[in-house]
Parts: sequence; C-alpha cells; structure tokens
Amino acid sequence: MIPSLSIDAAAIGASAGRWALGPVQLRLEPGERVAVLGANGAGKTSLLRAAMGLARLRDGEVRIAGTVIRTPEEAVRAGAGLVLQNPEDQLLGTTVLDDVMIGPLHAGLDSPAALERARGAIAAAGLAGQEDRCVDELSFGEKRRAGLAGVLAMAPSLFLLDEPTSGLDPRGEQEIAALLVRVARERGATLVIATHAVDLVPALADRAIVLGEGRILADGPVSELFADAALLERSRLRAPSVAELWRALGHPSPAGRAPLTLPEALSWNADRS
Amino acid sequence: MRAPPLDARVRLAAAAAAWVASLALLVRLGRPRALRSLLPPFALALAAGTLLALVGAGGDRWLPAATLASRILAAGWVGCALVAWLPLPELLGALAWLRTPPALLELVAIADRQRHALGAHAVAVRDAQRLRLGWTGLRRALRSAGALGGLAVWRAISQAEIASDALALRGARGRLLPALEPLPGWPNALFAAAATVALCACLLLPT
Repeated sequence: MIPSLSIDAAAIGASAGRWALGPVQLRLEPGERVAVLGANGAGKTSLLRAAMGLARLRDGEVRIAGTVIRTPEEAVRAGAGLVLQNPEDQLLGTTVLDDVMIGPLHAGLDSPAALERARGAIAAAGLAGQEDRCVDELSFGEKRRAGLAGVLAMAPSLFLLDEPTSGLDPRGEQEIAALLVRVARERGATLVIATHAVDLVPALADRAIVLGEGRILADGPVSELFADAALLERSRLRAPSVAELWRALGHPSPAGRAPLTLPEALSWNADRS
Repeated sequence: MRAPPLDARVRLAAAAAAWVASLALLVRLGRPRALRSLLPPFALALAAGTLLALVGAGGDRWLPAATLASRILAAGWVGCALVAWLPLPELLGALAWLRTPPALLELVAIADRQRHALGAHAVAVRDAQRLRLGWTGLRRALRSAGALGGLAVWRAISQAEIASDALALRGARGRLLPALEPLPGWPNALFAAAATVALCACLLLPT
C-alpha cells in the first residue's frame, strides 16, 4: 500500500537557519490517526511544515501518496492540508464563505462548484448559518472552525493540524476533537495532530509520535507510550489525568498501563469490583 | 583651478558597481539575513525611481530618477547594514550617547519589536496563502500580494493597539524611560561611526 505520508531525512529545518529535528524516518498509512507529542520547541510544528514542503530538509525527501513534495503547492495538489496553529494567520477572506471559497477557486473549480464545496466544508466544521459573518466578528473558537473549514474545502486526504485545540474552552476542545475524528472517519482521511492536549489524545489518535532531544524519541500505540513513565519524563509530557488519578489511587496498573479515558476507567473499575 | 565635476552617468555606473560588489561580498560572507534585509530599500528605490521617471518634470527624467533611486538604495543599504550587524541594544546605547532624543530611541526600540512581530505574521499569512494555491500564476500572485499587504497593515494597527494596552498595563503614563543600553565595544563603535558618515554622505552630498 502506498503510504499517505513518508518522511525520510537527515534533518528538518526550523526557523533562523537551525535544524529542529533529525534524523526523521516516518511512514503513515492511509486512514491512520496519529498524534505528534512533545514539549514546546520539540519540533512538532517543524515536522508538520516539512510534510507540507514549508521547511527545509537535509538529505531527504517527503512523499505524499507516493508523490515527492518540494513545495506547499505540490503538497496541496497531492492531497494534503495543514491547519495552522493561529487561526488569525489562516483567515484571508472578508466573510466566512469568502474565506472558505478561496482554496477551491484556486484549485480550479468554477464558482458554483466552489460554493457547494465551501458550504459543505462550513457545515462539516459546525459553522452552518454563519457563512456571511465577517471573520473579524468570530470568536476564537469560531475562527478555529473557519480555519478548519478552509482546509476541509480543499478535500484533503492527509489532514495535518497544528495545536487544533489550543486556546479553546474545555467544551470547545471536546467538540473540535469529536469533529476531527468524525471528519477523518467520514472521508477516510489520514489525521496528524500536533498537540499538547494529552487528555484528548486517546480520543483523537491510535498512534503517537513523541519528539524530544531534537529527534523522534518514540513511535507506537498511544496506550503503550502513555504507560512508559521514563519516556514521559524525558519528553516533559504526562499521562492523561484519568491515568494519573488511577495510579495515584493505587489501583492496579498491569505493565504500567492505566485507563486513559473516563469510560475506560469506569469499565476497568467495574471489572475490578 | 577646480576639477570639472564627474559626469552623472559615470557616478551612477560607479554606484551600480559598488552595489554589485557589496552584494557579491555579502554572498561570499554567507549573510542571507543581511541580503534579505536589502530587499525593502531595493523595492523602495525602484518604486521611487520609476515614479520620478514617469511623472517627473523636464525632458531627460531618467537620470534624476536613477540618481534618486541610487541615493535611496545607498542610504537603505547603510541603514540595513547597521541594523543587521550591530546588536540593537548597542545601537540604542550609541544613539543615546550621541544625545538622540529619548522619544526617538523608544520609537526605534518599538519599531524593531514590531518589525519582528509583523515579519512573523507576514510569513505565516504567506504560508497560508501558498497552502491554498494563492501564489500559482501571476494574477493570483498579484491578488495574494495585495491581500498580504492589506492584512499586514491591519495587523500593524491592531498590534499597535495591543502594544499600547500592554504598556498601559505596565504603568506607562507617557513618561519616557531613561536609556539603559550599553555603549558598543570598539569594533562596533567604529563600524557605527563609519556607517553614520556614509549615511550622511548618501543623504546630504550634492548630486
């Protein structure tokens, strides 16, 4: 099977001419949901930017669905979309509809087709009925959704998101997480999410890549990585609050594992008693 | 007896040669940041020269236009070199030592901070435009460039409001703070002095 994304490079560049990560060997299969974890400055954003042809590579290449990527335009044409960390940077139009239509129009769709695509994306992002609102009037959470809609309108098969829940209220975080999982499932898209929100990771992803010390420290199932206390310490991360509470209460944790979500904890607790 | 003044075309050719030589030197020294910093004065010089050539008075407008452009370019070059090589605190220290009014010093400090913030924002917006194929083809690129300029201006205004609020929150009531920056060391002081002389020459010497 052709991987949805593969990166093979000696190093990946960050800003100001320094290398952020290296070496990087990565292969993501179609339909996978992957979380990229790490402390501030670990290289999460650089990894996503490299995947989109926005960061320099040393001795390596990025492929999206088998196509070698050198520029962001090539990445977009190969079916990738990136949601930037700050929605203020991503919103380019006057109204929500204007903004979301920019991508489809540039991709060569005629106006009726672009309009239909944009309306669908806006509805999928949970902003139905807000099409004519000025982007400057939107709340931060709505701006996030509008940014998301702008990328959804490009119909990506590889969906990269940089801190998609940062700055949102707790309910907003959960809504965006549910939205991402639903959209990825409905469209069969590969999801790559760089995030600090460890409590949301078990719901968002099956696989996690942990960055630290200028390289990939670990790559594996979410449940395994959150059971590795030494790895979490090295990468300045923590397990989800539910797992921490479970361990703090002295409940049994076979092979260091603990429930990662509330429903899981309730189920484990029921099994115990 | 006074020597006859050099033909303006000869001086322009010399200025162009100096420009090319300095660019070559920067490439040789591997200073991409300094090279990039020359783009704004280059664009300004080009715009001013073209404008004068198109709408200026008199028959032979190309020579004064080229002279104006080369002056802007030279002054911009020296200014950029000064900012690119001299650390800002030392530059401010030197300006303070030269009795530059404190209001001007504060302006320079704020302008530098805003330049970084706006630069980062402009890069992010351009990336967002590229991610939606906004720079493919001349017409789209022109439209995207216009949007980028508009967004940068908008961001500059909102950033100025935020900076003003932040200053107020830290007790600013319009009084200027004394400059505490260190004086530059000898090599930087010499460089700053030479650059200042060059800047004055660019701006004040008769054509």
